[in-house]
Amino acid sequence: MFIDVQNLEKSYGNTRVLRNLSFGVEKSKELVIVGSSGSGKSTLLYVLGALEKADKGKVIIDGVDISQLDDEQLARFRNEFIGFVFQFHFLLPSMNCLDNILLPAKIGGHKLQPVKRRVLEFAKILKVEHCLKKYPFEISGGEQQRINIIRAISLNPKLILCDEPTGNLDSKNTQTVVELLRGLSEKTNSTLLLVTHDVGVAESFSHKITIEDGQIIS
Amino acid sequence: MSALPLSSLFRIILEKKSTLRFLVGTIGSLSFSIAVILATIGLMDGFEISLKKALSHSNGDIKFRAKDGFFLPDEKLTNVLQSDFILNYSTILQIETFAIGAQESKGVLLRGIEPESFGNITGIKTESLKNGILIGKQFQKKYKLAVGDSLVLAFASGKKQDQGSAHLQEFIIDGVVEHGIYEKDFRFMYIEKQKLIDLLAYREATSNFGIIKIKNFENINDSIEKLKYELGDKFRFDPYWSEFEVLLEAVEIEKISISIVLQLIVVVAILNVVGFIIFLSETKAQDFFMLRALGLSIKSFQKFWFILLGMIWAIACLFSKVLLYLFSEVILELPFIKIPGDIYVLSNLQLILDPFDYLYVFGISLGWILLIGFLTMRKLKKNTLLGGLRREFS
Repeated sequence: MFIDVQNLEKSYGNTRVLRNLSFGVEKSKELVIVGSSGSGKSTLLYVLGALEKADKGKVIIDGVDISQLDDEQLARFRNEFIGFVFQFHFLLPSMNCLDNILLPAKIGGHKLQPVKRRVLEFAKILKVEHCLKKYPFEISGGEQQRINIIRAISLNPKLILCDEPTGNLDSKNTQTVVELLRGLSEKTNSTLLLVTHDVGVAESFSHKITIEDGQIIS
Repeated sequence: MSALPLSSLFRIILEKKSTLRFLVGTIGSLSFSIAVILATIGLMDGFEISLKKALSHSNGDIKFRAKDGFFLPDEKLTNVLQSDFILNYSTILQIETFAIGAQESKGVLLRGIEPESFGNITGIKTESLKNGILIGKQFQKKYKLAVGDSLVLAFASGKKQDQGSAHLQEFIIDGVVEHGIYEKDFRFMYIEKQKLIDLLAYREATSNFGIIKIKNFENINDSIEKLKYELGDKFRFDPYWSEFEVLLEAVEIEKISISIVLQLIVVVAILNVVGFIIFLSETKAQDFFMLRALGLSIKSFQKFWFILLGMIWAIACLFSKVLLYLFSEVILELPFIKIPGDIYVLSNLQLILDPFDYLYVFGISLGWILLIGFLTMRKLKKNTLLGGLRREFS
């Protein structure tokens, strides 16, 4: 198993958000996680993305038990292993889009030239080449989301995690973004996990788990 | 890993003009506060050091006088004053007289000295003393006198035929001397000792005051104890600063109390730094959590954070040095706001700071900044990454 989740538990105060969750995902596969608002699906994604620590249980990704990593190791893991596509684009307004995309590479101390070449290639595929020198406020919401996606995959992560990536998009752009994500994960041979409450988006995925009250119900 | 260049982090954090303006204001107020404290301490240190230096300049290391008033350098005194720990000594006959001017008279202290030994001990330039007198610089300025002019001194007649009336004597001014102390520059005059003895018809070698230069300046108190042990029944020995001892003690106490009170100014400036830190943590929390999500470790951000605060502190310290220079130029040099010398004991005030003063003021301000920076960092670390992202981007 590329992702092996074992007996995962997470609470915020007295609220149990994840209850004894266990599942696995094969390498280079895609999985959609669906559930109503407050079901715990986003929390699960953030735990998988090493942005949040679980209270109990194990998350093993590509053989690494991330629940055992310290802050420094988790930061490195996030940078090198995971590409996170957030619901809101989270682009820094002080930088142009190219600099925003290159942030993970700069944080990780990677050589910039190969990353830039890859970014240009992705920008061509996603038709946002003209946005690279622009600031986030100068481009549309759909373009911002595509820049967000390029940032997430700029370092060829083994795992792409998407939290409601189409939540703010119209149906046309939703379709485009999902196709792009799927195409890019195939191209980069990465595993794709996507959280959504959009039934249409969920239907297009071959593997699906549904979460209610922090538990997998199907 | 996590090698986002510091320059990029600075660009992200300080991108807006308003942030930069706030930063400049913060550094400005901090450096101004530091400079005010340093200037105050510097003035008091300057006063103390200049006063001691000036006193040493006019009194040697140790001064002595006979308990009975006048004395003759007998064998015992001469032997003791030639001890190993004494470098040089000079005996003086000093009396109060009046300098008579066209409109007014002024009480002065006329010191009969042995020019060579006195000059060696004090550093006061006595070479020009011939048959006339030397006057102080302030006296010369006040009465607009010049070398070669004559000055009449009135002596109280205590002997022989002049009983009951003042004895007037005209002297040529051979030179002008400086003590570095306003009062002395105004009141002290010098004459060759033998001439004064002859004038007053005193016995040969009569003296009423003496000054001593010791070999090891650090042992001044031990030397006084030795002298007291040998001659204590007839003479009184004091260190050179004794005449201003109370004033020096008062300055020392004042320095401590003022530096404590002035901490309030640092606190006010630190409040500006606090304001800046809060402003940054509020406006840049988004960037902080985003960078962390993309792989920037807390450790790297912590490093950046303390470098930023360290830079604020360092620039403020450097700028406070510039302000100090301006203070000293403005307060002490420009004639229209120069502190009048006659208000102070010293002819000139100086701003003197030793490394400990800098260490004290810079150290305290750094301590404050680090404390606030540490508390802010603790607050940021307390927030989970997910919680921070959700709150900041919601």
